[in-house]
Amino acid sequence: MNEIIRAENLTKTYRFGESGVKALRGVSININKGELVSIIGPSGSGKSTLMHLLGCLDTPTSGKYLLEGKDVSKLNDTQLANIRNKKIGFVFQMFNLLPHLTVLDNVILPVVYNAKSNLREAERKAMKLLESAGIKERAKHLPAQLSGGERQRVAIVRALINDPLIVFADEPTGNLDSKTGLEIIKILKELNEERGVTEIIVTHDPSITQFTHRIIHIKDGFIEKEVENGHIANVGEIKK
Amino acid sequence: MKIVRIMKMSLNSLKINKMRTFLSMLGVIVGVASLILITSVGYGAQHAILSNIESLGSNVVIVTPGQKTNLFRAVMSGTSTALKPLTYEDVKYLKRKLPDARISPESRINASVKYGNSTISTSGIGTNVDAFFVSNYTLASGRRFTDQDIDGYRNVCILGATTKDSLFGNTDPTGQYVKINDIKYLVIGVLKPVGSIGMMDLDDIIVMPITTLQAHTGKKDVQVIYAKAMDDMPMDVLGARIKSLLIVRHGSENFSINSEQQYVDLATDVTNTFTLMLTAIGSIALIVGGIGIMNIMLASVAERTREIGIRKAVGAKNRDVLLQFLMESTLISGSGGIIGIIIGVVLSLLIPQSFIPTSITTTSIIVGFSVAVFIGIFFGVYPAKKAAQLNPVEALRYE
Ligand SMILES: Nc1ncnc2c1ncn2[C@@H]1O[C@H](COP(=O)(O)OP(=O)(O)OP(=O)(O)O)[C@@H](O)[C@H]1O
Ligand SMILES: [Mg+2]
Repeated sequence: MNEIIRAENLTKTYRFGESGVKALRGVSININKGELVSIIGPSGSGKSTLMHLLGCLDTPTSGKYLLEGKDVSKLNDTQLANIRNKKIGFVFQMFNLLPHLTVLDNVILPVVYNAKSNLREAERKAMKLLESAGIKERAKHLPAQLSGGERQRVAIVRALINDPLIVFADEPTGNLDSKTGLEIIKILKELNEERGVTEIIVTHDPSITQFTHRIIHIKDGFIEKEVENGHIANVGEIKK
Repeated sequence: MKIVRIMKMSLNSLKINKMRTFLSMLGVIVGVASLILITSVGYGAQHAILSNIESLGSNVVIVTPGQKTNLFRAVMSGTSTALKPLTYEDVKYLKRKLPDARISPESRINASVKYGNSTISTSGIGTNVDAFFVSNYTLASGRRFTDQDIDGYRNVCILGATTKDSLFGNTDPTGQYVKINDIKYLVIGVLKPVGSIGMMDLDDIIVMPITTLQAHTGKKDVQVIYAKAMDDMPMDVLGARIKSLLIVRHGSENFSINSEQQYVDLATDVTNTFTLMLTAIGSIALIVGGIGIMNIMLASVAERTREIGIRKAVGAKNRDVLLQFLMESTLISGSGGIIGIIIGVVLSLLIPQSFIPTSITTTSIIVGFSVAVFIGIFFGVYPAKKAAQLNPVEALRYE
């Protein structure tokens, strides 16, 4: 079995002096290579918190997290940054592009923070990825000159530039109309099917979960249930 | 390669907000410019004063009236500060007692000198023959005073280089007559130029016999007596001899004896203190500039919290973020330093040398730039650390 994520009993408490908010109360989760998983749940249920922990943006209050068999729950800032840089790609609801950098510069930003990288090569690769995302001619534009859907494509290309182990998308369609949202889902789905990219998509839109392999329902910081999707919708069906 | 990339990013951020970047530089610009200006004026003044005191001639003993206070002023100003003055009689007495020494008095008056249609006002100096051995008087043309000129109260004068230029231009004044304070004098010679101390042009003088000057003004006192041994008698011995002779003559020690070296020390002290004081003021401007940079950088860190979160999410280490913000503050202060140096140098060059001599040194330029860079790093560390230590999740949540 090609397990890349094994999380056991993860908790996260945000402290406010004496009291605290228990955002996660013990979550265990396994993800295999090539899987496409969705996490769904109501607002405030801890979806983003879980994604931040799994994405090494933050460390759990307690619990164990093995990424590719390696315990990463006790790593320091620099080690976590290295993992984020080489193994993880993020796509956010708010796009999170740097407004003063061109599309191309935004895309190669992760490469800049990789000491052993070749920027020229990265630029060539970025142009190819932008081309396959259909926004090659926007490479020299600033994010503000792009539509929401185009910005999210840029964010996806940025997440892919370092060939990550896994891509996390936190409500990638949350700021888009439903038609544009579907286009983004289509891209993510194709990446999984054609390039074998492992993906975790956080959403609270049930219609998005229908094309993922597995659906994890979260409520109040717990996993309520996990559902293997018996009938995975394909891109053609989504298109309608 | 990575550091170049980070530097490019810093430069880009600074370009986005040009006006703010410039404003945050302003304190450093003013500070560095004033440091450069102050040190160039300070060095220049010191250099000029020292070279002039030295050109007075070495091994000169200087006698001034009054006790040791204010000796610098006593020489440089025309007015006597003594309660009991030195007189020409003292000079004659010392010359009798010390035949192997050259001893010359100096008495200054305001002289209005007229030749043809032009009148200038200059400094009139009364002295004797020995001045040509003791002071820095060297003839460019004509002849010196003789004992007959002095003892005979003759109306003869020797022009300083500046005085000659303003009255006669390129023609030789020797043999011509000028009027000093309405009295007719024969010009017998012209002195070689010696330069200036600060704003004081040492060539802007007219020299005449002490006896003639005193006869025409009724002044009995002299401001300074200069003495120099012609044999190998050491200076301090000559000074001691003069001291004991004058104490006997005056009944008390109501005068001061100094050597040229003491004047050099004093002048160095004065200009050093002056430079130090102004440097302190310039440093305050720099510190204020540094605080300004810190302020702007703190605001910038707060404003760009989300940017920092994004950078960290894609793999920027704390060190990368620290470096980026430190580079920004250092670029601000470094460029401010360069602009300040340019402004300081230009201002120093614009000051007429005849007004205040300035001398720009590479040391002051290097120090100015280093201080600017240091300020950027020093005041940039705190904001940069704040940026570097931001939690990525918190930073991404920041609205
Ligand atoms: N930095 C924080 N400090 C304090 N509380 C936090 C912090 N981040 C999250 N929380 C709290 O933790 C809980 C879970 O938040 P989280 O963002 O994970 O929810 P979510 O499922 O992503 O919600 P949404 O669908 O609205 O994005 C919430 O109650 C939230 O208020
Ligand atoms: Mg969320």
